[in-house]
Formats: sequence, structure tokens, C-alpha cells
Amino acid sequence: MTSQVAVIDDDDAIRDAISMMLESVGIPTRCFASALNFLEDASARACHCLIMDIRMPGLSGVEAQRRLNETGSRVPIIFITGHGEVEMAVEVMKRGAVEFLQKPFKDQLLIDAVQSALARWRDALAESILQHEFRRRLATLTARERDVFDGVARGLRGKQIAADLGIAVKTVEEYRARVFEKMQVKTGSELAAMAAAQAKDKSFAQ
Amino acid sequence: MTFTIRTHLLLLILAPSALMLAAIGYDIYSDLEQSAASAKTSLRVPAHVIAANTGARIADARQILALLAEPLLAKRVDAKLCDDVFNELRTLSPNYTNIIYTDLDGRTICSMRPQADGMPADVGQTPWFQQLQKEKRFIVGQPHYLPPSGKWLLTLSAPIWNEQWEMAGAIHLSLDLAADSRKIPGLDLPAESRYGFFDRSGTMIWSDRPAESEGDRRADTAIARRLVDMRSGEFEGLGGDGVTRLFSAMPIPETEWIAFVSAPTSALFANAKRSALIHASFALLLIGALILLAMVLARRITRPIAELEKTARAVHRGGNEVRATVAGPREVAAVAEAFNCMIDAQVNSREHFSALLEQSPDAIAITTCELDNTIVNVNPAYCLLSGYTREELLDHRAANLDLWENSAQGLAAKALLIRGAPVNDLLSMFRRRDGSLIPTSLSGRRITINGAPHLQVVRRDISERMLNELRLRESEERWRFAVEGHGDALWDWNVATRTAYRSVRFLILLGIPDSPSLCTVEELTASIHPADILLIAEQNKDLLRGITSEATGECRLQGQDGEIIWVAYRCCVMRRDAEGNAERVIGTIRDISRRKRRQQEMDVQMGKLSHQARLLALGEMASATAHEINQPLTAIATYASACARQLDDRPRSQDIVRRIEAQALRAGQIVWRMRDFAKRRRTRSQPVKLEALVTDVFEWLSWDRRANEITLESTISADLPAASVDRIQIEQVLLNLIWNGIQAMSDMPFKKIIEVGATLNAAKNGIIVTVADRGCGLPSHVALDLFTPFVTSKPDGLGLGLSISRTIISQHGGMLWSAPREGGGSVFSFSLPLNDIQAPAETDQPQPIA
Repeated sequence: MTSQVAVIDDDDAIRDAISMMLESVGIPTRCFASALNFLEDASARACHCLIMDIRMPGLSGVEAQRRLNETGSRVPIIFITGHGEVEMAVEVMKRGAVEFLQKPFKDQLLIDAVQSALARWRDALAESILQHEFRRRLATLTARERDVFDGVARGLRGKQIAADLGIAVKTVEEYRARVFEKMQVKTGSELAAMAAAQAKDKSFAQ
Repeated sequence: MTFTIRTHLLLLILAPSALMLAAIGYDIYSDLEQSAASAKTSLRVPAHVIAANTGARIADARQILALLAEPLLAKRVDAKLCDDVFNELRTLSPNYTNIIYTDLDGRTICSMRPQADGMPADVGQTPWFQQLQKEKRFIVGQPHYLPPSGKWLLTLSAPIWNEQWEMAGAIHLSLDLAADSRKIPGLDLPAESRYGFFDRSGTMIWSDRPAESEGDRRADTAIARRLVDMRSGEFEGLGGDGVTRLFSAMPIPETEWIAFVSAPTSALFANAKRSALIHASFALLLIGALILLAMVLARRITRPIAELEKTARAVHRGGNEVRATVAGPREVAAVAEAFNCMIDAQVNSREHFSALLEQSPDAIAITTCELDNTIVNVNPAYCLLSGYTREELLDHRAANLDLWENSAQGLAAKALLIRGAPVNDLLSMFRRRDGSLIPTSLSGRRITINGAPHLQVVRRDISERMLNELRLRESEERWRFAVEGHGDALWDWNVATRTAYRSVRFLILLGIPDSPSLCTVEELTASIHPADILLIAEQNKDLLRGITSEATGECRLQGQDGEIIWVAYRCCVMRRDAEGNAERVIGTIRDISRRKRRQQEMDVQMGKLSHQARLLALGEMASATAHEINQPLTAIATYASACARQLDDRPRSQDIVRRIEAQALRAGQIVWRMRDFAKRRRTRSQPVKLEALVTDVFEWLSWDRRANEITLESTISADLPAASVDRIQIEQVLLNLIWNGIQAMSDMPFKKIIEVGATLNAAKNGIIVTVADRGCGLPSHVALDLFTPFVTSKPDGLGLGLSISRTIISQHGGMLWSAPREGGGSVFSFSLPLNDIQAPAETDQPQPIA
């Protein structure tokens, strides 16, 4: 998958240089003169990594990161700064920035950071696809099937589920077979693992 | 001791006269001594001659005897032989009276002269023969008187020895002592002189005067005894004839006789005595003449002096017309002349004095020098003042008239005067005839009139003056009260008398509240601090000359214990003389020490603040520069890196480009280091009440003239919790923001107010401080880059103020932002942590603009 990197800096020369350098190692870039430009450009959403200056006139890098987080974007951000305030570094890293580089930096550091960010983006993307599939399958379950699913996901036995739901064990067995089929799993433990991953993602997203 | 001139002159004469008398006396004495010596000599010489002559004769006789007693001859003692021997002898020495041979029994064998009675004499019983028989040697017998011849005979005997050396007989020789004793030739003895000789017993053997009788020879017994005892020498004594004589004695050899010569002393000393008498009378005459001369001279000198004295006493008694006679020796005459000049001068001054006394407007009285003093003289002014006539006053006791009002002060002054101490300008009440008391200025001193001490008392009516002074004092007290009511201290300098008045408040200020108000101008200036005195003196000079009408300023005073008191002073000339020179200067001083101290504290704080500001500016500049330089450096390094990556096939060029990249990175590191160095400062947080902090900041600004036309208002509540901040840094931020506001309003025509407020934030975990102005607002080109270093809207600004402020606030974990104010102007706000919040917390404050 081809991944674009967005370079956001108010300094033309830096934008130009970084873009030139990354493309020389085969990473395509798009340049933005300000964070506002980036946020307003819909096509910019295709960028899978951001290289952003912290201090810029207008919208600062920190503020841009906050707005992106608000929209649920989880695009990895590499901050570069000519000031290097420690407090600011701590803050942006807390909010999910992947790297914080002081200008001028060694090219390899940036390249490594970009590649690691892209890899992470790809992983996240894959996970997000899996999640999406899981939700789609979960949506096909009927209410009763969902109850059984929850019980299985919690690792309960058939008898327990039957007792909890007040139905016959045999009925539970039927439902379970149908859930397995719909969720495209073969065993109960597989289902439990899937449910746990889903739960973890949810907490991360929050 | 005082002597009269006459005594002095007599002493002068008598002193040499005594010496002269002594010299003459000595002269007479030595004359007498000399004459005595010569008299003694004149007697000793004949005495010697007599003694020598007689001695010689006896010696001759002895020789003859020895010759005759020769053994050869004597062996033949025989009458037959006698004639031969005697014949021979007779030729030899015819002077002998007789020579006889005798046998051992004393019977005469032969005799040279025939015996008177024709019978051979028997001398066996004579004392001299018995002596011979006993002693068997040559003897000189005692003289004996031979009555028939009337001669004194002396017999010399010698034994005759036979061949067996036995005494065979004796030979005797008789001498007539008087035979040779005629008048001694060649001697010039004085008249009445006597001479002769005595034997051992004091019997006069022979004398130049024949004795009247046997008894007569023993008449001079006392003198004879004395002569015999003395044997040789001279003495003075009363002779047998009742005449005082000088005796000279001399022993005669071979015998025990004494020859003597005597002469009357009157004859011997007659010349000497006469000469002494002449000398003495001459000397007495001379002395008498000198004394007479001295008396005459003394009289000549003393008479004009006595005259002068008489004149002086006459003048003393008041004889103005009496003058001394210029006479006598020149010196005395000169004294008299000088004396006359003196009298002239005295008469003149007396006239002057009486003229003064008569015309003086001051009341003058001369009294006797005692407590109960009697008036001796008064002038018309005194009569006028007292209300008495001159006749009533004269010879009356001042006390009886009760002029002195008999106050303790008056009596003390009088006592002073009597003791001789002058009294000057003393306020004394004076009782007039009608019983009224008037204030007078009393001066007086002791004077001497005609040798007696008197008091001269001058009184001046000062009732008018006192009235004026009273009025003046009242008015002065009024204005002093008015000025001192304002808390100012006063001084009042009288230039002419060089004195100064200091108000009580002044003295309290100096810490000497008990000192007298009146002092010398030197004391007044001594309280000025030495460092300020030149300036004050310069100002003062202009003031006194009239170049300036008043002088104001601030200076330091030195308090009693060396404490420095800052005062603001103001002074002006109250009165000038006709030439424009100041006569009286009045000034006020106000204690501004507290203000000065506060100002100094502020200065220190401002110093700290500006130091901090410089550090902050440096840090901010370094930081900003770092960013600005890092930008191109980043571009260079990145370009180089991109280039290098495209030069994989040309490793040499790639290497060069990599070096460019490395150098750019190195430069970046240098910049970072520089920035770190500048940022290496710590904030020292402490709990600070913002209300107090803002008050301080306002106060500093009040010292700055540029802030004068701005009204600063604080809306901060005193119960706002304390913030945890570095006080100086937050003060810096506030100052920056307020200055921005002030400058933003500089061209505004309306009332310029800057409001500073502070409130708790919504979450109540921080404080938001706002600084609101009514300025021109933020220009659009600045608003975006407001906190960027080197961006400024001021023509002379550095563009660091807000940048620094933001750095400080962010170091405190807060934010700084600005917003337009409703109704015009802008509001700058910043957030600060509360005191109990340690770490910078997650904020939900409004986000900064940039």
C-alpha cells in the first residue's frame, strides 16, 4: 500500500528539503504551509503520517494535534521543533505523537520515525479492518444469539448460559452453533479471543 | 622699702664715704704700726750696743784671766813675781780696777793696786771666792758696790793650777762697770731716754743717770722684774718717773744681766699721731661737704615734684583751672608738662561726659556703690522717666524711692554691678513716681569717680518696643502654628545677628527636643549632612543676593545620633534691607525619610527586576535566535541528506554532501547549547498574594514619570488565595503587560485607566490574571505574531516583552493570551497555579492564540 507523508511547516525551505529527502528514499510526501491548510484539505486525509512543526503562526502543531484527536483520527504525528520545550514534548507524546525531533536532525532519525509510523499506521489500518468485519458479523446476530455470544465470550459453559437465560441446554447448543457459523469461528475460545480484542480496541479508542 | 630722694642721695654719698673712712683709718693704723716698729728698733739698737760692749769687756777680762792663770805662771805664785806680771798687765789693759792673786784661803798674795788700808785684803769671805772654791772654774761674781769709790765693781775669778793639777790659788780681776759706760756714741736717742742694765735679781747695776741712793736703785722693781723675765724684747710700761715709756731689753753675754733702753712713748709717737690727726680731719671735712651737696641736689629735685603733687591733689579736688608749674630738672619738667596735657584731656572728657549725660535720651543715674545706693548724679532723661525732679533724686537712696521695684532680679543685677560685673540690656521694671511700673532695658557698670567706686546705671524705656514685639510674636505664633499644623518644622534665620530659631518640631526631628530653640547659624547649618552642604550653600547664596526668591529641594540632616533624616525644604527671604540684602530668612522642612526609605527599597527591587529582565531578555533572545537559525540549518542538513541519497553511484560527492550535513548538524548543536545556557535559570516559587504584588508594581510605576497620567486600578480581592509563583518574574510579566497598556494608550485623549484583576478559574485550581487597557487595540499585523520574539508594534521596542512574559508564564505551567476588549482596547490574561498545586496540571484554560 502506498502511504503518503504530510509535511507541515511554515518554513518553505524545510518543507522542501524534508520532502526531497523522503522522496529520495521512496516515501511520497505532500507539503502544507500551515496546519490549517492541512486540516481543511479533505484529500489530506489520505496521508498516513504527519511531520509537523510545533510552533507555527496561526494554528500551532499542538493545537492541530488536539483537533485531529477530536475527529478520531489516529494518524501518527512526528513533531519537529526549533525550540524543544520539554513540557511541550511531554504533552504531545502523551497525546499520541510518535516522535519528537529537535531541528536540525539526522536524516536517518526522521526516516526511521516515518517508517515506524507508517508501519504502525498499517497495523492500525489492518486492525481497524478486522474490527469492522467483527462488528459487521456481530450485527447479523439475533438478540438471543447475542446473549449466547456474550456468555460464550465470557467463557461460560452451555449449562450455565442455559441457566442464566432460562432456556434448555439443547437450545443453547443450537444457538451456539448458529453464532459460530455467523461469526465464522470454529471454537468457543476463538470467539472469546475475538471479543476480548474488540473490547481492548474500544478502550483504546476512548 | 621706700626712701625719699634725699635718703637715696645720702645713701649714695655715705656709701663711698664709709669706704674712704676705712681707707684713712687703715692708713693711720699702719702709720702708727710703722712708727711703733721704728721706735722699737731705735731702742733695740742702743740696747744691743750696750750689751755688746759690756759683753766684750767681760770677754777681754776672761782672756786676761786665763792668761794670768796659766799654770806656768801660777806655779810661781809668789809675791816676788807679782810686780812683773802686773806691770805687763798694766800695759796691756789699764782699765781694770785691780787684779789680785790670792791663796787658797783668800789671802791676797799680791795686788796690782795698793790696798787702801795698806793691808793685804782677805777675800776669803766674799761670795765670789766661796763660789770659786766650790766650783774650781772661771766665774763672774756678783757686782758689788764699793762705797768709798762709789763704784760698782765686778770681780772675775779663775783658779790657778799647780803642776800636779791641784788648785794652788786664785786670780781675781775687778772691773769698774761704769768706767766705760759713758754716753753711747752714735745713737740719737730721744730726750728723756734712759739706759742701763740690771742683774738677775732685778737690781739696777748701772744706769746712765746716777742713782741718788741705794734704795733708788731698786725703785723700778716691777719694770726691772719684767725686763729680767723677758730678757730680750720690747714693751710699753709706766716708768718710775710716772712717764709711759717704751722699754727694750737685751741680755749681756757671759753674765745674766740685762741691758735696757727706755724712752717716753710720747716722744717716740709724736710724729705719727700728728699725721693721723691731719688725715682724719681732712676726711671728715670731705664727707661733710658731700652730704651738704646731696642735700642741695635733693632739694632741687624734690621741690618741683612736691609742687606737681600739690597740683594733682588740687585737680583731684576739682580744680579744673589748676596747672602744674613746668620747672625743675628736665625730666620732672616733662612730667609736669604731660600732666598738664592729661588734665586738659580729662577736663575735655568731663565736659563731653556731662554734655552726653545732659542730652542722652536714656535715663542715666550715678549712684554710690552699695546695695542701699545713694543717687549722686542723674540726667534730665532720668528725671523725666522717674517723674522726680533732680533735687528730689540727688542724695536720696534709690531704694527709698523704690525705683528698682525691689524685685529679686533687680537686686541680683545690683549685686552683680557692685561686684564689678557689667550688666547689659537686662529687662528690669522701673517704678515711677506715680507708682506705675514701666519695662526698661537696664545696662550698667561700675565706674570710679574721684577714687571711689560708683555705679552708672542706664535705663531705656522699652515699653513701646515690647508692645511691638508682643504684637509681632502673636502674629508669628499664628503663622508658626499654621505651618507646624501641617507637620512641617520651622526655622527662622536672622542674618544680621547670625542667630536662628528652630521650632520644637525641628528639634524633635533632630532628636534634641530639650535643646534651646535659639541657636547660632553655625549650629543650624551643622545639622545639614556634609554631602549636601555645598548645594545648600550655593542655593543660599543666590537666595541671600536676591537672585532667587525662594529655594526648595531635598537634603539630608544629621540627627543627634548620626541618623540621617531626609527632608524636603523650602525657604524664602522674609525681609531685605535697602540694598536688597536678606535680613531674615524663614524656611520649613518636612520629614520625608519614610518616603526616601521606601524609594530606596523600591530601587533595590527595581534593580533586581531589571536584572531579571535582562536575563530573561537574553534567554529569550537566545531562544528566539536558536529557532531562527535552526530553521535554515535544518533545511541545509536535510537538503544535504536528500542530495546524498541521490549520489549513491558517486560515493565521493556523496561523502562531501554528508560532511555538509554533519557540519549543519554541528552548528545546530552549538545553537542548542547556547540556548540551554541562556535558559539555565530556575524559578523559585513561593506563596504570593497577588493583591500585594500588584500594589507593589503600581507603586514602582508611580515613581516613573511616564506612568503619571495613567490611573492604575486593581480589582483584586484581598481574600484571593495565594499563588505559587516566582515573585520577581510575575512582577516582570505584570510590568510588561501594564507598560504595553500604557503605551497603547499614549495617544488616547480620554482618561487613561488600566485595570488589573485576578480571579479563580472555573475549576478553582488556578488563578487568571487580567490586564485591561483602553488602548488602540492590537494592530492586525501584530496580532498573529504577538508572542513571537522580535515582533513589535512599537517603533523602539525590541519585541521581546510578550515573548519573555509567555516564557515565564509557561515555566509556571500557565498560559498567556490576549483578546480584544469590549468597548475598545485589549485584555491580556495569564493563568497561574494556586499555591497548593505543586505540578503544572492539565489545563482546561482557554488556549493561547499562538
